[in-house]
Amino acid sequence: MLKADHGYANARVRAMKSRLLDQSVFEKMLGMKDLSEILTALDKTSYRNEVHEEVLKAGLLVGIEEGLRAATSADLQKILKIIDLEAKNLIEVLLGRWDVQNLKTILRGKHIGAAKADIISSLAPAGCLHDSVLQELAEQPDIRGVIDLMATWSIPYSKPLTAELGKYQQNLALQNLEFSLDKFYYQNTLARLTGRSLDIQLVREVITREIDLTNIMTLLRLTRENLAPEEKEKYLLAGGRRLNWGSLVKLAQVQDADDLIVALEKSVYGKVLQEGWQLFLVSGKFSVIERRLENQVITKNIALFRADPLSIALVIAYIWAKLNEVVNLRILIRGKEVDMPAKMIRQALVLV
Amino acid sequence: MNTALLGFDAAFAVALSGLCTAWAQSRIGAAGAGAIAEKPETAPMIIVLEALPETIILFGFVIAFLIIGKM
Repeated sequence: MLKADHGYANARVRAMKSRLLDQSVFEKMLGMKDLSEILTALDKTSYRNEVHEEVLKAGLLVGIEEGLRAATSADLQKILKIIDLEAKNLIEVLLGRWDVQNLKTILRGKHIGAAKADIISSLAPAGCLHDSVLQELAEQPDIRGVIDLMATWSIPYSKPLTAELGKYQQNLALQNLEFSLDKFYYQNTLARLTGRSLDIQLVREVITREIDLTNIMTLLRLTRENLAPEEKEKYLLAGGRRLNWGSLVKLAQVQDADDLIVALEKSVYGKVLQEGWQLFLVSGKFSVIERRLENQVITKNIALFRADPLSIALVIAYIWAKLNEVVNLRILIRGKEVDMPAKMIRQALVLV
Repeated sequence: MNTALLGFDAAFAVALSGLCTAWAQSRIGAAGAGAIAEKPETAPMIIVLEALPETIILFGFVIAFLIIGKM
């Protein structure tokens, strides 16, 4: 069988890559005083038209954010149109990750009773679920309403959520709903990624690495909460890249978070975990470890720009680079809005 | 017999180099179209790149011409 030719799509994506913002642009923006200066800086970027359109409608902060969302969403839609059907299926599998993330955001928002506007502004501009679907879901009065509407629209993610809804209504523990979404997504994704083509292997590599890091975070969190090993196992995902089920079960036996870091020391994630752990010890914020692991995922996936230029590696790397750029811009404008010092904003950015 | 074989060789040289040129141009054309779609300013460069593989068929033609000269 002939290898799929992604020459057309890859050339376009390579050209789109040249429009991504480099580190110097972020450094300049960090030195700016307020949002109006950042808006002027965005004039020279590919976000110009969408940002201006939205700023006229919704004001500076919300307008810039909405503009970034609209531009990114349009970019991703363009990629889905220019790649061939086989590659499109694979990229949609990857984009499902952001569907899960967006659904979790909506569920979390409903769990804490957040306003619809706040939920929508926290959604990632990626995924296969259309914006209008997510907005309608965010408008539902509670979690039950969200899940019922998803079931009515036959959104596949409604199945695991419906199965867990009863338990949630009893104990109001959101993590069961979130875990059921993760499990459903990763199991379905891995089942779809059968085949030995390079493209499938690339997507599999991305997904299985994420499973590893999700499992590590879960183990760290649950170990700190002193859960019993058999309880921890219930929240682990099978199919990781480096950590197979056997080693996960062993890690679940570890009773102390410090010991867990030591147990993972020799794994490929050892170095990044150590760094995250040191940051946690200084700041006392557990989220810094999570952010450090996320950085690892982002860096590894963006490094696919240097992988086989004839595969869909370039497309995968571009999607990650683009979404990372938007997240960085959102952190930057939110930071500037509340007069956060540039040093603190820089620490929160992932500049690859 | 000898003349027929030489004629076949000449035809083979042109046909094979023609196929190779077509394959190379198709790949460059697809990627070039993508590049022009995003960055129209690259069009002159792409046209030059698209024309480059035509040297392959010129070589094939020269070889065929030399073979025919031996007939």
